[in-house]
Amino acid sequence: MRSRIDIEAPFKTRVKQAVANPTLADTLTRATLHLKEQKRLSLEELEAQRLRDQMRQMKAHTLRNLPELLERFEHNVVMNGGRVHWAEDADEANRIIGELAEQHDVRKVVKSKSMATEEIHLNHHLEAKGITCVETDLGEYIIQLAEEIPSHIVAPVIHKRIDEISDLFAEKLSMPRTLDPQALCARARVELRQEFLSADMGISGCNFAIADTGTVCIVTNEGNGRMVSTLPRVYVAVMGIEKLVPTPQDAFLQYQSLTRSATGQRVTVYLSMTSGPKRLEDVDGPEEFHVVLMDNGRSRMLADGYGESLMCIRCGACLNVCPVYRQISGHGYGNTYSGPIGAVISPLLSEEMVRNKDLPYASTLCGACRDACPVQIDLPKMLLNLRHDLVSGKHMPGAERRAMQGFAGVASRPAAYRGTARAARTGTRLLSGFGDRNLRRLPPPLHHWTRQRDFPLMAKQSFREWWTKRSGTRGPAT
Amino acid sequence: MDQAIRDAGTRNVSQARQRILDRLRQGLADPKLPWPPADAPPLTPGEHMHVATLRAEDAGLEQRFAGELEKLHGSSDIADSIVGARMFTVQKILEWLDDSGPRRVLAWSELNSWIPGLEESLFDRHVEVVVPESLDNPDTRADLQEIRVGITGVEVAFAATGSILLKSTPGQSRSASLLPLNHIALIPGTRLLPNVETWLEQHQLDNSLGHAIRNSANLTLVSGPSKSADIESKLTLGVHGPKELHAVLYPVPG
Repeated sequence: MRSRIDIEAPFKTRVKQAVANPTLADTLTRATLHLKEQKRLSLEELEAQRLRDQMRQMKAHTLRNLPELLERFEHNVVMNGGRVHWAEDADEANRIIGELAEQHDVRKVVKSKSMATEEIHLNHHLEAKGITCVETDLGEYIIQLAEEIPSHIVAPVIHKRIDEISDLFAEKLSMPRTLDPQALCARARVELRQEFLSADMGISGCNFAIADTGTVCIVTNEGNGRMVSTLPRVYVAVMGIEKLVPTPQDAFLQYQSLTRSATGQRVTVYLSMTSGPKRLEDVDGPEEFHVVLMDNGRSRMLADGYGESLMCIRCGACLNVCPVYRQISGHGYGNTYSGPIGAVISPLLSEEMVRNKDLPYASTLCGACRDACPVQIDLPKMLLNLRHDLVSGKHMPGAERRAMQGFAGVASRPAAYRGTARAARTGTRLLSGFGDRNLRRLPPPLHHWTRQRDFPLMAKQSFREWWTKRSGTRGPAT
Repeated sequence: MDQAIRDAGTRNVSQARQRILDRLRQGLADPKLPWPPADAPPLTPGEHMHVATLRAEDAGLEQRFAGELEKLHGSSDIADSIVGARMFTVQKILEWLDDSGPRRVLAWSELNSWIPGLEESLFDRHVEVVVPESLDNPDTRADLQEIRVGITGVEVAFAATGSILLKSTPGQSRSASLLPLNHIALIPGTRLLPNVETWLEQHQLDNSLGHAIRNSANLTLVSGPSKSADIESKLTLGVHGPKELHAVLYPVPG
């Protein structure tokens, strides 16, 4: 019933657990291929490359002018009657929201899907204060009932089959078992409607916010984003500082790029644009509107040369094309953000470089993510840069560093290289018993390598020998 | 004491603000920064591409709108007169109000300004039009919960995507398009445009775009009934918002 992947376990353990689950890769492949195909169809009908180019230009401009745009956005939110809070890190963001909840005697919070609040583990923090947090996106609600964490940026419950969900509803809500998704959905509607009507505070993330007008925009299909931003007395939007767009035109460009890239929809069902608390005489809407602007490593990412990844619009397109994601699932990445973009930003955001040092290697560098990205973020390049930073920095384990130093010593001396290659040729043939199969195990200390992968047999002759034979006496220039 | 705590709180807040902005400015000042480029021009108004556009084969805005909304699991009637629009609207509402539930609709104020005589037509069929002034009272909320049909106008509608834009104002509740299981939207021809970009450009031209976005607390773009594909990528309708969305399109005389 539970995901069989322990997200607290080391990366290699998580991968083993993911690969050992026989249905996981099938489920993920089916779901991600569906999303990928929908995206292709929706982009076929328009000048997709022009949309990507315009998005890239707009996002680059936004980043270049981010400090000024943040100040403009803050000014406009305040002019609209809202309040802006700045948080340097996760702790500060949690503290701000916790204090807001205490000031308003909040006992229950309704939330719409938000990666930003997952990033800071907000629910955990609020629950420690005795505040109930209800996730209201259908997928997130299921995840919360199952006490798991989301496994996909836009489809959090992508790893669960319907019979597993039915079992969960039977256990937690005493609902008779059914394989009718509409029946499960109707039951969730009834449960969650009561929560919306009785909650004291609504919390959402933010898909993008307009600097020129002080407007926070959230994109949903179910309408929970509307509920959360309409019914409770206090509405809090939590956003990373990179989520701004300069103008309303930019906002609608990003909106349409996002919907097509995420799910292949031309438009989602709802785009909710909030410019402040309810106005005088308005029938409904929150009495208070707060925005939490959160850095949590983003300004450092920019300064450290990873600014390109701050253009991400969280559509999930890179997950849907990633061969590694399909094998290890979102939980394999062990972080809020999974897939290729998660492999880049998780180590940078969390300051847990050491725990996440393996993530930049959770990629085959095939480049499908870069081709799928609606803002053309060069994810393979960023992963390589991260690997480089890891190796040159102090994060690399001693054994690996010594091995690399040894290799460098051998590779830079032709005679030593030839000798080693000859030894490896003989060695691998001996180990294979003069067969032609890949080696599953190498002797210590090289067994570390073969724990996760097979080792191919060396060719019977080296390239140099082959070349010498083929071209007579002339050897390759060295 | 309280004052001291408040001051400390303010100081902390502004410190975070200053530190974040300083770090960003310092980072951006580095000439070797790989991204963003030093020269990063904005998209100027009018430069933004029209993402969803009309096609040569579209018979007209109404037909395109209806076709798109149908693809989004909504439905519509295209009336050729105000009288026809009134008839379609009442018919749909009566179809939704079966005998078991209350004969009440949750509405925006002044329905007659959208379709003259609509309030009287509903009254004649014993349908009560409920226009709440506030949702603050829990009893009001519980009461409105029972209503199964919502009826609203639109700020503007976009044919290329089958979308309607709803604006919150003192007479125009968000709840009418959100709480009930069924929503009917009245779209006069004068408010139907090809796409959202057309609307943005119109406001840009007369310098009213900022006002159009922020002069109400909430703008919502709605495209079809509430839906989810969270369970095994299978479509489910009416997750939180309405399960049915019906549009009535009609011409406005002179």
